[in-house]
Amino acid sequence: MTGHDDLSILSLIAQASLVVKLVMALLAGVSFMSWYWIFRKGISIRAARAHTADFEKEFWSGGDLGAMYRSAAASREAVGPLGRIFEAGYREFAKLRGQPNLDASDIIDGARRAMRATYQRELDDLEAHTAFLATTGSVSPYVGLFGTVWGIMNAFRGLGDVGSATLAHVAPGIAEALVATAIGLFAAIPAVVAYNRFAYDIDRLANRFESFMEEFSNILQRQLK
Amino acid sequence: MEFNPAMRTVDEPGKWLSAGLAALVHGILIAILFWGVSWQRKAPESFEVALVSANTPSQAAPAPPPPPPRVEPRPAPKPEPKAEPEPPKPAAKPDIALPSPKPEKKPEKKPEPKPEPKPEPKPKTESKPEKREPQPDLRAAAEAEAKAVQTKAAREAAKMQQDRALNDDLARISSGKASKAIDGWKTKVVTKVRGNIVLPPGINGNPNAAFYVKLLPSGEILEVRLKSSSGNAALDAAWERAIRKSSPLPQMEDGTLPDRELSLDFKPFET
Repeated sequence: MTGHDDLSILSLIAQASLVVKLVMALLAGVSFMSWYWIFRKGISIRAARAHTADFEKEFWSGGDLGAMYRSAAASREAVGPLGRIFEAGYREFAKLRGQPNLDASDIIDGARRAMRATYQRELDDLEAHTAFLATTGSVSPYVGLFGTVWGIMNAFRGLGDVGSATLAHVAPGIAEALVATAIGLFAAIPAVVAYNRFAYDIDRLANRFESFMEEFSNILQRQLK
Repeated sequence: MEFNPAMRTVDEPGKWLSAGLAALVHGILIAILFWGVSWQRKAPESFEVALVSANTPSQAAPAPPPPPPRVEPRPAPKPEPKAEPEPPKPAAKPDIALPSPKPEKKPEKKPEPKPEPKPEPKPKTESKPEKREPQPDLRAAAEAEAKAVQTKAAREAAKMQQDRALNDDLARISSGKASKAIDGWKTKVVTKVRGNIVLPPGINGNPNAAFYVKLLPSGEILEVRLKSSSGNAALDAAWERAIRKSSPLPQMEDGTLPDRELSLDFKPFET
């Protein structure tokens, strides 16, 4: 046996060529960032869901809208996205109601526009950085593949110097190169899973926000009569 | 619509928590990869280790354990085992003086030369004062001494034998390695030749042809001689052409050739 029999993961990485090493370093960084965002988005989406459920429960328990608005405006951080939508809509509604020469539909439209704007902002915050996960999921396998192709090219070029082609000459080079693909897949698979999960969760939250906006507009309209 | 920017920035929670969790995930993955992959490559290595231990236990077991009890009475001659054995015998009978110097020597010399009897010296020094008075014991003592010398010699012989066996083992192992490398090289040569042959039609069965091949150190072929024919002249000629076409033959992994001449067997079909 020659020095080639040491195929531990560390020696595989250490023996790889510079390009393959760069690819592996890039993929390791991407993988770390994608896991970071997986956890961070997971935490914030879960918190948004919990806040939304709390606020819906409080809203439909039939409290005073004015009191609810004051508590939501006082603690914007803790009230969650749905609370902030409610706060924006009610603030606009209260402002417009004080003006004398506006009819009911104008007031409701103004409140709806305010809620819509806040809704867009909230969704934007929730969706931030999920594009990174999507990109990681679709691109990092190709980056890993590039590293592997490069490593295999080197392995075969080295094979040209040796007279005969035995498996023992090619195998270590190919094994080194395949580590790059493995790292790429490790970065990609969780990113894709998490992206799909987050997209679904954010969709459901968006549906809840929209139906709340419709229902809240009806309540405001009733208040005007 | 007066929204100040401060209202917009709602800080997402869990910055450091998610960074820590991401680091944890990667740490676990690296650990799994490291243990998983290194586990796989240790299996083939254990084969070679097993060869060494095959003969040693049978020699090691009988030799060392018995001596200690026998040595206890008179280990004095140990420092110079081969020189002293005869003198003690004649001296023992007439001289009473002989035994007395021995106890003096024993405590001094024992600790230095032999690590094995170290635990024993204490009982000896206690027993010797008693033995000095009864003179008839001297003969027995001398005999015991002689016996001790014999056992000592036997033990050394056994040790030498053991060493020799160990060396044999090592030599066998290294030659085994070398022959493995040579076998690997021969396979390479045969593979290369096989790649160059154009088999003639009409071969019956799988006849074996043997050739002598003379090489230059660079692996170039000097001479090809048929050693034993396959019974098919066309096939022999085809093999010879293939061998010449394969010049230079591949070298061993360290860039040398094991031999300037070699004999190779060729069969047209791989079994």
